[in-house]
Amino acid sequence: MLTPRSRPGFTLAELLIALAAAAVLLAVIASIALRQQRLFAELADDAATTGRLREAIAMLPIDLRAVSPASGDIREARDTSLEIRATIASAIVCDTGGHTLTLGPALSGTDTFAAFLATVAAGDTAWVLDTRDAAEGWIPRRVTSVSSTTAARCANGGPVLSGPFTAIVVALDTLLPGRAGTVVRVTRPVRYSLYRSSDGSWQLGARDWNTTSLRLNTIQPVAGPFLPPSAGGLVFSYFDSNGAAVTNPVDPRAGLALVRVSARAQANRAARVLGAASTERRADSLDVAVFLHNRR
Amino acid sequence: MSPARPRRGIALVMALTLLALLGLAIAGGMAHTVASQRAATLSQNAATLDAAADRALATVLADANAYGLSALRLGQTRAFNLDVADMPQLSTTVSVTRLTGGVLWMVAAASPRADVGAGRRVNLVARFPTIGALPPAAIVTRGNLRLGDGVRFGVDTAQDADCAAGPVPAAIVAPGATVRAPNGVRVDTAGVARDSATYYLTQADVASLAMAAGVVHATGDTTIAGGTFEGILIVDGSLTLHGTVALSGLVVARGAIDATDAVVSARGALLSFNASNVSTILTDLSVEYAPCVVARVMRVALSPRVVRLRSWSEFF
Repeated sequence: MLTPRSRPGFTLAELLIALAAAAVLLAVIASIALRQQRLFAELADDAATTGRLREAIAMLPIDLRAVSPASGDIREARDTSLEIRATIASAIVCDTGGHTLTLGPALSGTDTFAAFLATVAAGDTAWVLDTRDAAEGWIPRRVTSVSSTTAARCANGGPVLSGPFTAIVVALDTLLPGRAGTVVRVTRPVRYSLYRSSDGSWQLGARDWNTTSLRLNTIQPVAGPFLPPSAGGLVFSYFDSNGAAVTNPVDPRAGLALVRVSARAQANRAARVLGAASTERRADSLDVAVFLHNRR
Repeated sequence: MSPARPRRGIALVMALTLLALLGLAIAGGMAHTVASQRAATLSQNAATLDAAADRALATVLADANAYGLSALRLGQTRAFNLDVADMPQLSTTVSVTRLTGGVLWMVAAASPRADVGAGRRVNLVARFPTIGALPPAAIVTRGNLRLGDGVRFGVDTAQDADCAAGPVPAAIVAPGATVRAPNGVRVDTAGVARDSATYYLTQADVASLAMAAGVVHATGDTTIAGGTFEGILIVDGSLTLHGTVALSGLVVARGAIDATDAVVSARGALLSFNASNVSTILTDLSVEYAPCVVARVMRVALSPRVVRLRSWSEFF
């Protein structure tokens, strides 16, 4: 006859030891998980800081590269602010009519005859290339109105095009010696500076040109927050073609060849994991040197 | 035989949990590194694309004749695919359109071969220098002009609008010069024929044309005994032609041109800055007034350069 086999059990001491060990283990795991979470948050914060810097550094050169200092495109140059005439459109004149210029079509390839960074509006300045003599120049004219039309081809002297296209028609304040085939650049003022927003943070702001009032609009945030100006949040420095620094205040017509933009931003929280339990917020900085293509 | 004792798997669970946490930490670090690397790569790519587009434009501009820019018709666009040195991973295209006033509208696009959409476009405006107006007639002389009965004049009609010939006289001479020409050949007298600038012989003009492509500068009296010439011929003395001579372009002589014993066919213009008492003699000549041909040889000779102040622009 078989006797029932005794089943193994735990003593009270075994259970207490197991519970204590499990508690210690859970505490360790919770601590690691918390640290992980902080690490992720700090990494994300770091990435955001770098992103803000890159945003500012990527945007400013676009407007700066085509600036022509000798034409007065740099209206005011300081270490914390920069007011320029940015090129917003380039085109070949397809046809003319009195005070109007019909611009060539903007296409996606290299066989394009216009490009628009922003919509041309009344109040903008059109610079028309004057090739009547050997010493060519750019004649500025104020845009008084803008419309569009459908054109089939350009007049003699303009590019040879096939098929109808939508063309921008720009009316100017004064009659020009322009003709089909003339090149035109359109500029619009813009001012970049570091400013303190309502929440107390320092932002890179842009004041766009109001084409109606012909004044700069209220400042709008572009990127940020950055460190305050005293901590080098955003610094513009200017250099001539010999690499010598041009000191503030900069003569806008000085032979500037290069503008350096330095931006510094700080993470939103103190780095407790990455910064080895530091109470300070991590800061990052980025510099970009912008070569002015149209300096002469 | 004793039965197997049941095993408890808590150690495995713990090990897996720790591994998972470790994995998360590594993944977080990797994600940060990859994001930073990607941002840095994007910045570097943007700079590389800018440099490639600029270099492509400079390459085409520096070798305008090799790319046929001087021969571009007005309004015509021509595209070139370029391999930019040290950047085999990029595809670069330059389109050039010739506009009025000798202006070249150039657009370069650079993009990674693997991703055609992610590119940069840059615009450059260049211009062929000019050294004065085009010749006002097929023959311009400061001194006397003698044309034989075998002289025939024509006008090039296949022309661009910026150099098209209107109704022009066959020849223009300076006031005071004597003219002997067959009936029906129109020869005008105008003060412009007295000006050295009309003959591209000012100091600046000669300096511009010195050593230029397609320009031959003979420093003394010169004789051409048959043959063909295309380009700009500047003779500091008198020019004598023998045999059968075909000329295309611009011929400028500081002295007289004597083609008494030659059969000459010319396309372009013949200019003679001869003294008032010396005759330019053309007896058996077939000349076609072609200002566009003159403009083309000028473009070949004078390389284009970027215009001042606003030549460069970025396209989006």
